[in-house]
Amino acid sequence: MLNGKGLLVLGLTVAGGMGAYRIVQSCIGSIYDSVHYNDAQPDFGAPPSRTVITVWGEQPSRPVPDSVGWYDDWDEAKEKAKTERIANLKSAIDTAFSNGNYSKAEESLVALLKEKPEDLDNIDLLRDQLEVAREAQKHKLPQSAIDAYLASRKDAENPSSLRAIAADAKNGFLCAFAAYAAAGVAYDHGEYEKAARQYEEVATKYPTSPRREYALIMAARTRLKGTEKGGVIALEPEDLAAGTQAIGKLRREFPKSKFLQSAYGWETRAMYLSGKRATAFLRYLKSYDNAKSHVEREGQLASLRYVSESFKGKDADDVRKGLFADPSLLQPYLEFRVNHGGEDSAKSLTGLAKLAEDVLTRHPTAKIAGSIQARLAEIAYLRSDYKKAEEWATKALTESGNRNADLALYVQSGAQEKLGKSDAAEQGYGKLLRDFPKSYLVGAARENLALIYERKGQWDNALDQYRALSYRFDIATLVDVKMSIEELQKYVASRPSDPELNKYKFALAMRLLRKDKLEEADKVFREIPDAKRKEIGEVGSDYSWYGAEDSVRDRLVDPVDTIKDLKELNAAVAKASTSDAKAKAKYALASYWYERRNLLLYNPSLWMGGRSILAGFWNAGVTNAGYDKAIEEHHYEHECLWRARKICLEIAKDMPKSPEAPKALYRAACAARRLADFNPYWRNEKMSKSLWNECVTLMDKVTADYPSSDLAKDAEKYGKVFRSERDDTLRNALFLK
Amino acid sequence: MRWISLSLLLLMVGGCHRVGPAKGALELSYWYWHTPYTLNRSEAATLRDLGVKRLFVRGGTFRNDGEKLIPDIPQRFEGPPEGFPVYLVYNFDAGAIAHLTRFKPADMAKAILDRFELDKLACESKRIEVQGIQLDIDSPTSRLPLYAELLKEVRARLGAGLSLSITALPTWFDSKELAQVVEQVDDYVPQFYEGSAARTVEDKTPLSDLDAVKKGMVAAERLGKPYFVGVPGYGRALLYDEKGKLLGAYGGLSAYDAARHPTFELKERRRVDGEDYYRFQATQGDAHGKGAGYSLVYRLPTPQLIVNHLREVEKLRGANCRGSIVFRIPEEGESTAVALPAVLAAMKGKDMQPKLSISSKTVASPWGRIEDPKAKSEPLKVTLTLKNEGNGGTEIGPNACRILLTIERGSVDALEKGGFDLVQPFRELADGSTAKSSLASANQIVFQRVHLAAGEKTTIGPLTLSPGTKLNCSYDLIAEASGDHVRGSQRIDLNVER
Repeated sequence: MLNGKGLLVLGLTVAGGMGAYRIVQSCIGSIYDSVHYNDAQPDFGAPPSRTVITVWGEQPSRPVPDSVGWYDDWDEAKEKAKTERIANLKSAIDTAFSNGNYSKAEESLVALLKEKPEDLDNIDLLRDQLEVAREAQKHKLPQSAIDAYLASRKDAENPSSLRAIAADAKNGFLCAFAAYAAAGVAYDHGEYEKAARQYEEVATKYPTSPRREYALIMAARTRLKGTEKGGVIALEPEDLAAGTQAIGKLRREFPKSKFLQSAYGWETRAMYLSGKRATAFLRYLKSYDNAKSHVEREGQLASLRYVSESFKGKDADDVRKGLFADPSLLQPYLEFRVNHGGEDSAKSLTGLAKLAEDVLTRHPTAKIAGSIQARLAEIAYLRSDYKKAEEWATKALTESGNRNADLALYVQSGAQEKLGKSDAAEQGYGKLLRDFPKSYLVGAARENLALIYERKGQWDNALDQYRALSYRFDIATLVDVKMSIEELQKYVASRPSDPELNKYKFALAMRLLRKDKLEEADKVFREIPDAKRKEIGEVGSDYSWYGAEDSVRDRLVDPVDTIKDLKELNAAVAKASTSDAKAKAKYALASYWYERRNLLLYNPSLWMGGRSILAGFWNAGVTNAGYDKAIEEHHYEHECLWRARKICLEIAKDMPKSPEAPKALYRAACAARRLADFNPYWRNEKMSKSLWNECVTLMDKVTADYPSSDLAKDAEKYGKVFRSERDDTLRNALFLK
Repeated sequence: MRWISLSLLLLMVGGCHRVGPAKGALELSYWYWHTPYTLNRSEAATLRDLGVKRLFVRGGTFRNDGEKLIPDIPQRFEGPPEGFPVYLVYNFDAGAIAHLTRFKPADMAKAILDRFELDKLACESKRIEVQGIQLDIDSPTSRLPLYAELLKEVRARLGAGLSLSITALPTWFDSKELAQVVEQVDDYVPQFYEGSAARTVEDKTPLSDLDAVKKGMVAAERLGKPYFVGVPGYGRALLYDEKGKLLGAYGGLSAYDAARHPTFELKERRRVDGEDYYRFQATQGDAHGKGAGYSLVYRLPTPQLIVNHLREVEKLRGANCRGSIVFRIPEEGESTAVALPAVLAAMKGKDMQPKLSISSKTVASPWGRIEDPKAKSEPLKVTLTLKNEGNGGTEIGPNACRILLTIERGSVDALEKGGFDLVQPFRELADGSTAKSSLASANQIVFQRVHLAAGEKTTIGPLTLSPGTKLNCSYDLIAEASGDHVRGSQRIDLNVER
């Protein structure tokens, strides 16, 4: 299973072209931003993990978007403005330093550092400059000294100038800065012993410098790093002592230091390396619980996994004792175990639930009761004990200050859904969306709601959820395949101020066109301004592999023009008074479909080049709700080759003596042959066998019934070709699933 | 080319190159047929060790859409940035070949070169040097004059400094018109062995034929044009009905798939003149009841076969022979083409036996003990990594790679079979015999895999072990090259090392 977002290679597929699907299939992994095309067999009641872990290979089977959705909002104008702002600030900083205007430099640096760190190059250097600007305002120094220091900081490979600055007492506060920076060069070069000594020296020699705080954490970090020997990291006792001492000083002297969290982490690592595995594990649990970002959480999870895998002797017993001693650690422990750690068998979950209940019994007044009960509900759900899950969740929701209230609500709704209380589940999910709009469970709740609506036949409500989730293929499937024309009409009519109204009107009109309701379709298409209609229809675009050039085939055209053409062709059929004339007019209509082929009835704004996903990736395990029939109808309506075949067969049957009859048979054979291998839907075994046999039979019929036709010779030849292709195809499908 | 007309089974082919010194060193090249075009470091290094200087990369296949020739199944070029210079190869599918006469040579040339130019630009954007174009069109012999016209058009439109090459069918050598075809190109690549398939399942005649190479090279020399010899490095699969009559080429299952398919039983394995012959028989019909009793025959070239061909070409070379081109570089994990390291080893006369290395990684699984106060110790989880460090792979078959885990103490409480096809626990009985058993009562576990290629790595596990378990691992591999059993054993280290 691939991790991450659905890898959608849109634009590769044709409206259902043959070669395209093969490529797409090889390019697309699991499609996650979808309900109906996700290849997992999801349990929509199970809460998704809030952290996706990849560093050690654990991959979720079905991640769902959080409240923000899959994609960050990308505002090009904002990004451009930000880039300009950063450039201006950098320029202002340079100017301020070169003018010796350190207050201005400080002001500009503070402004610059307010931008997101990931957008800035060399943030350490900027922070260093800020400290220098501040110190320079407190301590008078020649500007040349500051300029020299700033210049030397930019030459990271050459610490000699930094050392020279540090060695000259006339440089005042800059001595500490330069000595600290020189230690950083040693660190960056992997000379950890040397770096550690230099950092310690800075901390000792410059007790009042702002660099002391930095030097202490760096000394600790360098000492506690450990040394790798034969794949195992070892920590020397003297390094442990020195590192621990540095952290102690940092904690005492800088109780509000921004490095305290980092220090806690390094201390924990030191404990692990010293063999205190259980203590380290419990501390990592605490850090995991306090993690503020996905990246932090991911790092703590990696540590938890790593440490737990190395447990020996009585480590496990010590962890158990630790959980009883500090019940606040139980919540992160449960979260880790449920989502990321160890066995997930029913037996294992039973033990886990027992542990949680025992801790709660021991600490009946603990503030964590609500959050633990929510986890117990989750565990019960995962064990398929939905009644118990509902009970625990309901209990959890009565606890005030429950930080897992969103989880409790989610599990309660999922359990209710399983217990057949669909209305209650619908209300619960709705409440979650209202009360916890930023919860990581919002995306999953929307999915569940959408499926409840689907089961109730409330396609409009389901569509709204898929739109909120930006699940483009589910939207396309509902709008272009599943919803009836009447439902779609109602949807459009009830949302007059929908910003995407024209898109949905276009979809409605295209559905009408496919039903041959030309007048109605024309009316709706014309309600959309011409330019907008052409934009939605991507008129003139070419989805075929190698360009249709000047051909009419496989081109997106304005559907209003298609309607006009079809009206004329239909009128000619209606007007034809003789059998031959009718055959000729019908053959012209069939030829229109055959020659324009695959994109004439295609809705690019919905499928964006990916319609073949409908046949190749559909997950029937999610819901059946009548989709099979809708998908079948959609294909028959959509495929122009099928339309051409149908009309041609009518000509051959109804007007066999007309001059058009052999041409119609020949064309029907070609249409059947193309459809037989057109896309996964038409290639499915039943359809494919039927079409393969049909194309051979029809070609043979041209030869047999119309031996004097101009097409007889070609028909004989292609009859053989089609037969050979059919035999190859069917033979190669033998023994495959 | 004939292998295209025979679908997935193909044999060999031809290639091309500019005129070189008449008696210089013979050049060795490879065709690259799959998508995308990319080589990993190991493949590139092996190709260099083999002395390969350039590659012939399939650019696309032309088909007839009823009106014109259109390129299909396009190549994607992903590198390597500092890889080999290439010729871009274009072939025609059966439909396009059947309608050669429908198209004007100039139109065909335009369609081909339009695509070539696009692909050439794509290559250049990836810093892949394109030296020329090769056409792989299995023209009927009767259409050779038309083919010559097409080549003349291509030659006239081809950019300066680019070479034109073609592949050639052996049947063309009976035609006087072949001379005018090769006249248009810089060089050509004939396939000097029969691509015809055995009509019955009893027919074991090898596909490769060194006599045909000898006769063909004599004929090729007479044409007086530089040529390369196509060498078969790719096998074929044929399907026969229950009476042993050939039904045609088969592309549904690879030989590995067939070996692990529950419907098939390996009935026969033999080596004939450097080719491995595997015959599987369907013991029942497929899901639709068809195919019971059918035979699926795989004829797979060995590394030695390629080396034999190259040596024969070297021995028989005339003034116009420039070298050989092998069809083709295998895709990862495929059974039909010969692995590059195996060809290199065979060329250097190295031992072709498989050689297994076993390593283990053990981690603790402490959850039960944390959550259950009665548990006194926690289980371990161990994953075994097995790598074939030898130059040769195993044969293909249910017993090709057998691993026996002996539980000397303790128990295996749960297991995952990892990269193995079958796993079966056994219990050793008092009389020394063994019987299938549940995992709980087993003291032996057998893992089986149908094939382990040279350089391939696979895993067993993770196995969940009760505390204090001791495991011994022994293996039995059947060498592809010799059929010999390669055996050994090793105690598994179950220390948690962190």
